[in-house]
Amino acid sequence: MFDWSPVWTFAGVIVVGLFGTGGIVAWRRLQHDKKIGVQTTEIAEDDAEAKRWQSIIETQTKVLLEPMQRRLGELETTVAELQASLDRRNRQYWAAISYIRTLLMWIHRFMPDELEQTAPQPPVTINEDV
Amino acid sequence: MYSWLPPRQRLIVRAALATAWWLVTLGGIASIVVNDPSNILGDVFGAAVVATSGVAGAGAAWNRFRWEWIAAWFAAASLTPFVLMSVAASYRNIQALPGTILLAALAASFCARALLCAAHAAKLREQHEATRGDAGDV
Repeated sequence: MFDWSPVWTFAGVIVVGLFGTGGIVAWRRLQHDKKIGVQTTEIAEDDAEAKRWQSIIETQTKVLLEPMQRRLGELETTVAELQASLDRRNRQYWAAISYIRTLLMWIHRFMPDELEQTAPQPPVTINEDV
Repeated sequence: MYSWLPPRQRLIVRAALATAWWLVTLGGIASIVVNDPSNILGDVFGAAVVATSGVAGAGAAWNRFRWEWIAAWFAAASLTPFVLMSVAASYRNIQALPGTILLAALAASFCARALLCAAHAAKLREQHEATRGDAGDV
């Protein structure tokens, strides 16, 4: 079956040597990889490992993320309610201040001279606004 | 090595690769069977093809890329005498040329598989280094 001439023998030795060297180099790298503890498969390729990680992620989502989202939603609602309440209170406050000013002016204008002229002082917290 | 594929397609690809390798094994067995018993070299290279392609096929089937990596290089080496013999035959008979080119393509595909496995090994090595680097930082 084999018909060897010196040329083919030489070419054969060269090519076989080349590929064989490739194999030996690969073998040495493999030994080195084993020595330093390189994994043989990727985690994503190991179905059992991938499922385990998936289950861990699902559990973490259920235990941590979902309650946190719920709490965040509740807090957002509370903040919105408080904001609306604060706006309403602000409007009422300035309306009250405006009414107090009007009343004080009205009192000054129509109070009889024989009565005491000094109006009671407003509380310190609203003194400037009045 | 096939982590970028869905699990089902991963199986199909591995089965196809193992089949291809084991067909080469069958070719090696056939070369031993039809070889002239006085031709020891023919038997030796035939046996080398059988062994290396068998191991490479097992590597593909059982997802052991390292088996395939080493075996693919030696399979290419053990196929080379057949390629050269076919080249020599093509000089005498041009009808043998297509077979020669196809055989050379097969040897080249073995090299390509070996290089792909080597690239995968390099990737795992890099990941290993990166993980070790992270652990060191902590």
